[in-house]
Amino acid sequence: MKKQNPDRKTVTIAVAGNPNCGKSTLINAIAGSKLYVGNWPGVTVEKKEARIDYMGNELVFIDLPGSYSLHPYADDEKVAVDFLTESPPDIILNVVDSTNLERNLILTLHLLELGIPTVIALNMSDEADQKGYSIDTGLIETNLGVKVVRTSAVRKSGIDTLLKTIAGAADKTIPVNPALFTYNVEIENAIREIQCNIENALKSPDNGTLSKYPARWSAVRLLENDGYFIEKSGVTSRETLTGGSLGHLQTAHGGDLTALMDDERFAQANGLTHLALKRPSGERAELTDRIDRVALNRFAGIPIFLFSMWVMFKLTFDIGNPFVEWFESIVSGPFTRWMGAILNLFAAPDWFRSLVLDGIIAGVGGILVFVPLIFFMMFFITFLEGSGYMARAAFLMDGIMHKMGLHGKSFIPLVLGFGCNVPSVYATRILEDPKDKILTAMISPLISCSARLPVYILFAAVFFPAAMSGTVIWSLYLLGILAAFGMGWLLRKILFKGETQEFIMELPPYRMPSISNLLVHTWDKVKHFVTKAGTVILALTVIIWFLTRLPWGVTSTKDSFLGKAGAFIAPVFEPLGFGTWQASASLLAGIGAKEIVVSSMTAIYMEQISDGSNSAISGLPIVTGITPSSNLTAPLTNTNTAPSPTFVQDLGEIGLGFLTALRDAGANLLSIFGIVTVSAAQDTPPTELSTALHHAFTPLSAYAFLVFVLLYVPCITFIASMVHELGKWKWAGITILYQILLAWLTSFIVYQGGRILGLGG
Amino acid sequence: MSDLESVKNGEKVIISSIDHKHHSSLHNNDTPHEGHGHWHGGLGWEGGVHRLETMGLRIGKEVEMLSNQGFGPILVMVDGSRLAIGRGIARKILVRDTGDGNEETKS
Repeated sequence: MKKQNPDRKTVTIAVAGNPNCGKSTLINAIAGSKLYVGNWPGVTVEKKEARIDYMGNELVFIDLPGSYSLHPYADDEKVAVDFLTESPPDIILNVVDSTNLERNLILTLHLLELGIPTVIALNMSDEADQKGYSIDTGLIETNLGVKVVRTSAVRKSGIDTLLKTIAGAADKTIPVNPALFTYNVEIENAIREIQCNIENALKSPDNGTLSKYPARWSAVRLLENDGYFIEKSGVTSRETLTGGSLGHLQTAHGGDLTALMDDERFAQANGLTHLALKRPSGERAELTDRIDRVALNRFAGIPIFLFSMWVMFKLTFDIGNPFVEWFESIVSGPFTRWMGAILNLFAAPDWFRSLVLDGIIAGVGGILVFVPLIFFMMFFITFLEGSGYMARAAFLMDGIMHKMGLHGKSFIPLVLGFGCNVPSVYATRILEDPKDKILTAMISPLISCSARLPVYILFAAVFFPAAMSGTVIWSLYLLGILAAFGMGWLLRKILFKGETQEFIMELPPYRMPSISNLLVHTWDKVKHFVTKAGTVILALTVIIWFLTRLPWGVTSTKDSFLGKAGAFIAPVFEPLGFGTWQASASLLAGIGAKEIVVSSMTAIYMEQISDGSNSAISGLPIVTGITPSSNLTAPLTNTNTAPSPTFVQDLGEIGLGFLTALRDAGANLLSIFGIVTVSAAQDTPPTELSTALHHAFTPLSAYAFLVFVLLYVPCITFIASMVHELGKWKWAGITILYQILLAWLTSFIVYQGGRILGLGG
Repeated sequence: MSDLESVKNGEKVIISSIDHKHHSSLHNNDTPHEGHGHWHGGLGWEGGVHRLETMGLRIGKEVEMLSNQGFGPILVMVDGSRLAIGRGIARKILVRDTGDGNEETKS
């Protein structure tokens, strides 16, 4: 057993910096795979943590959201301020973009006011070198009382020196004493007076939470009339603490002293930059500007953006699908056989076999097979974010989004929604105006997330010719986008009257993200989906399995609790063309998670066909949906005749399947048919499930059903995230209500309209 | 009248003033402009100006117009950073030519 060093210390390091200064990349370079993301990174909306052992101590890096100052403007900046003030770290690692020294130093000056030892990582030093910049690090150290280390997170240079400096600062072998920034005499006099008043107020037991903040910092915040600080510190009367100190300043500079304080910091940052930075005269146009001339062109910009979205979806499906088929073959083949063998070994009772094979493996396994699609979609979204193009897309879309009552930046959460709607909610933090934020969160579940894909794929394969199924799926994606824009416009008119907030955003230079960074951030996002499958969907699958078996002893799902509930609400769906208890029960089950619609529907119909057969395969709808070579029916008919493959044969099958998937993905990549590749793979022979579905739906009612699935209630995880993020049930409640109404009305129009047009019944 | 909104692509100007006061969309004799004008939410107009300034858009700074399409946000370069800002804000930023530092503000 490893002995713990008794002198081992845990050093907390807050990593702070402007947006796009390379903080996350630097932490990745320091910690590698040890990076732990506590919440959705999206566009770094929550803190990330990395722990490493270094020279006998544990260094804990906390990545704070990008901030321009400690006077918070957006929610993500508040997260940074809260962490720095409520749980002060041992060291602040201030990541500074070497190519934009002056602006980054403004945040540095804010950070130094906290009095915490600070180490500056002069990041992107390679880019500064390329531009011919020369930065006098010694001068910055002398002026600010910090240690400065040149780094390039992308090239992983300067990391060792940085770690040594941090460790030295922590154990005080390298002295780091933040310089006290001195304002002009009048401001300093006011700060001293307010500080004195604060110290007197702290003697009283009723001082709110003021005592946990450094007194001078509190004085500066009060002088600037920082509303967020006043709210958090519990200060009931600012005037009591500021006393008469501000009289002269306000007479000379007006009521708002923030501008005055800003000017002081700007002057300091500007002066220091002039002294420390030498840049060549006549800088040449950068590659970013040359690309932007085309990418942001008034005529070419939007078509280029639409083309890039099309490429993203094409690559996701073309590369992802062969791997989905491979996953499916593992779940329906070797994995189900292994689980069956284990259950046999323990002589598990029939009901338990059914729970595991029909419920858990069918439900959870059937959803996990979509991990490859989610992975590739998240990978491309991460690439668009990391390359700098996502910010351009927001810029391009601002004009159109404003017409819909939305903000250009709303576009980023909405695009993330194509992968999963949950990160969309968290990504709304990039919106400064609460109205924009709530509105974007409320319409984001209308964007078709990948959880709905299993439903589309199944129905498209069963009810539409191969050549049409791709178009059917695309039409649903398009309908989701139109519904989101339409509801954005409507909600803005009804609930959020007024204009949208002005657009302010920094567009980072184009960069080629490193593969390791892309994989780390993609995995952060995919992890949520996998975790959801392992927790929420597992629990829901078990609950739904019981709901289809209770009261205990029922022989048909129709008589179970779920069946009865389905039958009770079925008349509501009669005008939409799918007023059966089976469809209604599946929709009820899908409130938990959209993926469940398919697995529960399959379980219900297959039970009817096989008269209660407990084959786990019956719960794998995906098999029928996209795998032409699927042996969906094989286990039902051949289980007792064909000898089971050995464990080694199974492993061989898995390896061979992977190579086949790799070959098919490569071939698809070369094809130019986009999602048609998926359609081509849907030329499946009729199965029991498709026969059963043909009895229950017509192509028109099937499409109306898909429209309903697209638009009705968000999943439970989304609702929980929305309540968590917006702090109120009210908005989640309104979202659920409007979505049910919208889904019913749209499906009604589709079904009844289709009938009038003679498209079937 | 010269404000940042009216600067053409490729032109360089110097910021001479930023309006710190809150205005309606019918400020002075401006014609009402589609969709923009107010600065809602967040920290309000003052907070927004504070954000602009911390992002580098301050009096005395040289600004190069990278993209001004006549609609939608504009894109400017300040100190090597590319900042996209709404037209409503751009109208509140008054600018002068870079040629002569003492030249009177065009507004």
